[in-house]
Amino acid sequence: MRWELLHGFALLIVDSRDPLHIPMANLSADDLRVLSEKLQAIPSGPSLFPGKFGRPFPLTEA
Amino acid sequence: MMLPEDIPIVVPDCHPDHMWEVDLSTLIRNVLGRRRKVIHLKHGETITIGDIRETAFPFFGEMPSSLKPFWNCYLFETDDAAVACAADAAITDKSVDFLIKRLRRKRKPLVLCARLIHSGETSPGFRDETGTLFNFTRLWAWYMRIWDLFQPGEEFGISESRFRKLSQATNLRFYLPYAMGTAPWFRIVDC
Repeated sequence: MRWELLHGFALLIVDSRDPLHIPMANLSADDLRVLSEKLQAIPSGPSLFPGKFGRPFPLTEA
Repeated sequence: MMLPEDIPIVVPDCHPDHMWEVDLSTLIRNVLGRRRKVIHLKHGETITIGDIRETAFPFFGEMPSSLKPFWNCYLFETDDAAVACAADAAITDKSVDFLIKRLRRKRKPLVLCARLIHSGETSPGFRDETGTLFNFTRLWAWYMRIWDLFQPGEEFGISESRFRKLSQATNLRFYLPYAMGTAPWFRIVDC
């Protein structure tokens, strides 16, 4: 059994086969693909934020 | 390692009648010392830090609908850009109306950082789900009073219709799925 600290206050069991496992909220690549399609369906709508962690992104040129 | 003492910490308003909300300023001063400067920002109030204006707006959805929150989401603005940070909040009509009122007819790009875009259906009870018995958010409901368990609640994030409305009324350029436990750039290579 492996435990993981979540948001600094909760301990969760990360083994999905464990009967006490509770799924964490997170994003999969499929979630991102579905999101991206939703955004593309909006005329002149926004895009997924293209910035990467630790790299500056110039919003003023967006 | 600690945040330097001369840097103020901004927290939501608090009131002794709101026993369901922690008095963050007292907590911070108890932990970090009484000299620590703590600024309360009420909903609709703005503080200016250098070139950045920070305005608080309500953080809905963390508590049952019968408990009115003082918690904050924040809109950060410069003259050229705006970023709305909503963390785990449910973005309601009131939240969208606030953002539109602040940003309507302004050309500066807006980034919305929020939980996922959803259908707009309310949950059957506070943070309840019909599909799975043991879901991620049911943990919170263990601490609720019985009558609160059965109040329909707003989902985290923003409904598709509200998202479209915000997109049409402001220069919403980017959406960042946010507060999802793990940010995508930590988990997925080159997405």
